[in-house]
Amino acid sequence: MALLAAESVSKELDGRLVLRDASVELHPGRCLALFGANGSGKSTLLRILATLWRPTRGEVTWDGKPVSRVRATYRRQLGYVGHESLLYGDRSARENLLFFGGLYGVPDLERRADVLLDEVGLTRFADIPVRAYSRGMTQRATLARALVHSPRLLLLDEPFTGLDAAMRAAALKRLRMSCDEGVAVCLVTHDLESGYEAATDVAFVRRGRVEPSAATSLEELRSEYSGEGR
Amino acid sequence: MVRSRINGVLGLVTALLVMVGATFVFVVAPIEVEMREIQKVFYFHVGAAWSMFVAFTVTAAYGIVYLIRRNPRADAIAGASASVGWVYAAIVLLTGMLWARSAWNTWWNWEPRLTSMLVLWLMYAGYLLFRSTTRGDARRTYSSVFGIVAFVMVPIVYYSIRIWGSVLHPATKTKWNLDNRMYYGMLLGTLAMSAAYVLLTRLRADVDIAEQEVDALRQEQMFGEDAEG
Amino acid sequence: MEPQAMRAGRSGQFTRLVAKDLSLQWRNREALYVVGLFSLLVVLVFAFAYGPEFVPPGLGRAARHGELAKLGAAIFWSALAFGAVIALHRSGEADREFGAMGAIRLAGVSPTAIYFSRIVSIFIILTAIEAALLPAVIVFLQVESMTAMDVARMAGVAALGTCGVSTIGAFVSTMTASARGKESLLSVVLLPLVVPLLIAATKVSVDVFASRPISDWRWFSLLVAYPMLTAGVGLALFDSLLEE
Repeated sequence: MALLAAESVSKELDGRLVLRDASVELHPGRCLALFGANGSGKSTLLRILATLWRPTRGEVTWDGKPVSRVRATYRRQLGYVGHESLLYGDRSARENLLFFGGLYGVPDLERRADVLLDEVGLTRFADIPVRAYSRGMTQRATLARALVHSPRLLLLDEPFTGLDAAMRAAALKRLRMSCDEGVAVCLVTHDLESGYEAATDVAFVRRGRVEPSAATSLEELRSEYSGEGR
Repeated sequence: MVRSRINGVLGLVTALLVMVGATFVFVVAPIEVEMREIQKVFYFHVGAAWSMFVAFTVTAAYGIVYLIRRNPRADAIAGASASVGWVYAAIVLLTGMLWARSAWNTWWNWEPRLTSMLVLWLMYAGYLLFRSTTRGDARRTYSSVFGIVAFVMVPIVYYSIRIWGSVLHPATKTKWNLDNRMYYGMLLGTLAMSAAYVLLTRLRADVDIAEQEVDALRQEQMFGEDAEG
Repeated sequence: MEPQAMRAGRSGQFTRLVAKDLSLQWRNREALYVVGLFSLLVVLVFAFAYGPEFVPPGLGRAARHGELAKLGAAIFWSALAFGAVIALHRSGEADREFGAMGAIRLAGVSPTAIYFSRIVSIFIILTAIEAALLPAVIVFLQVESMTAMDVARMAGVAALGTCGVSTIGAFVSTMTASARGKESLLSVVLLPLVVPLLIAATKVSVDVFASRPISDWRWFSLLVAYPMLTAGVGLALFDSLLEE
């Protein structure tokens, strides 16, 4: 059984149906990459999976139970990276990690924060307010925030934005490691190379629907993706 | 098809009630001794007040229904009911002012019923403003919540007289000392106002749904071109 | 790591939220000074518009004092209402700026804890404003016969009224803020909802300013009941506000 499943989920935003009957399943130890053009509804889908938005129709289930029933339990096991950093701009990366880690009740939090800051390469900047960070640094702080409670499920919306080549490679490695440890990952991106490298499964989001891809190589994926725009 | 037939029948019933009611109010019922012709305002005042209470109750009830069932039609009805209720509230206030001017030689008086009524009217003005500036799921959820919160004021208006007493309004349970013809005038006036409320709310809700559909189609078209282009 | 091992207690989450709110407010305390100053200016404007000068001369000492008490109570609560609108515009701004409220919800914090933490932090801010407002009203409106006991009673009444403004304010500001870009609606939504409370608070405060026992307990009951009523409704509906 899937760890997390969305069944025929639709979402109306500002009067427009952004998602229509999108279905998707996530399994432990697997990484699903969702590719799609701007406005295809992939970010909306992720926000709904993260329970930040309520679907207009359809249901998301966690271990077979509707997430609306087990919401608090479910939420505490997921790590989410979105377009926004979900951080406090007036506080430093460390303060943010300590605050959110505290809400989760993470044991030995100070050390956990140090480890994470080191992992995302922010140790030098750990005590500067997030507002002063560059795009890439903010993204790294966001990743650290999403990982602070060692989630069983990762929902990542364009996690590689603004990262330099070295950091991107490190993030990819970290993702694969998480997968090997049994974490379920859903990755939303329009960056084919990175997405393909991280993914075990690939699907496209087209006009609000999820369509699995049959591509077995990056080339096939690329031609399938470029067919998209026409 | 069925809907429009129901609306047609409702329209006929409303028209009939309005005509009979108006006949009673303006022809059959006698001119009141003290207030003279101005007393006719009273029929509208009472009828509108009654329908207004119903309207805001319906708004809150359908708000709850929407929050539980997430059915867009429930929200459309709640919104339509509030807009009709708000117009009725304005009628209540205006007819009340006419009465006040004639009976006590002033347009306004800060007694509890008038004060709370004005607050109520302002509150639903806020509701309608809020509604008109949001769209989609967000509008439905927030206006349902708002409709329930604003309802807090309705019992305050209703019971204001019993709590604080009023020199100008009779307490609700007072035995009406009315001429029979006046009584039927009031009854028919209230019925006509209520029928008009039901009809207007249904029509407004239909328009609301239709507007949303048109909006969706337009967006769809733009979205489609964007994706194709 | 199993979730059971790191379950933070509800009260722990709640205190963390309040501490976070207050420390953020403290870091941006200039904004708080603006609200305080604004409220004082409202007092000034009202004092000019219908201040002590307008109390007819030739009244006896007691009668004059009664008139001034009415003005003082009215101006105190009006200034607080306007100050609250401005304070609420800003409250929760840090939570919205980069969507941090989303991360709080994802940490499994219950809507109840979020709602109450917002009430508490708004309450504390408004109380700070009142601490400046009350002496100003007493001095500028010359309600000078108030004893220390009266001031204490006024503090109690103010706390009750502020409770109500906070329960409504926490709710309404969340509603107008989460409906993208509708912050400008805050005042038209907030004020009608707090008017019943303001009327009750003013009526009760008149007695306190005039050093009299409370003359009409119905207003006092409204002052107590209204915050409870609105908090109840707010509690029942707050979750819906967060989910869109």
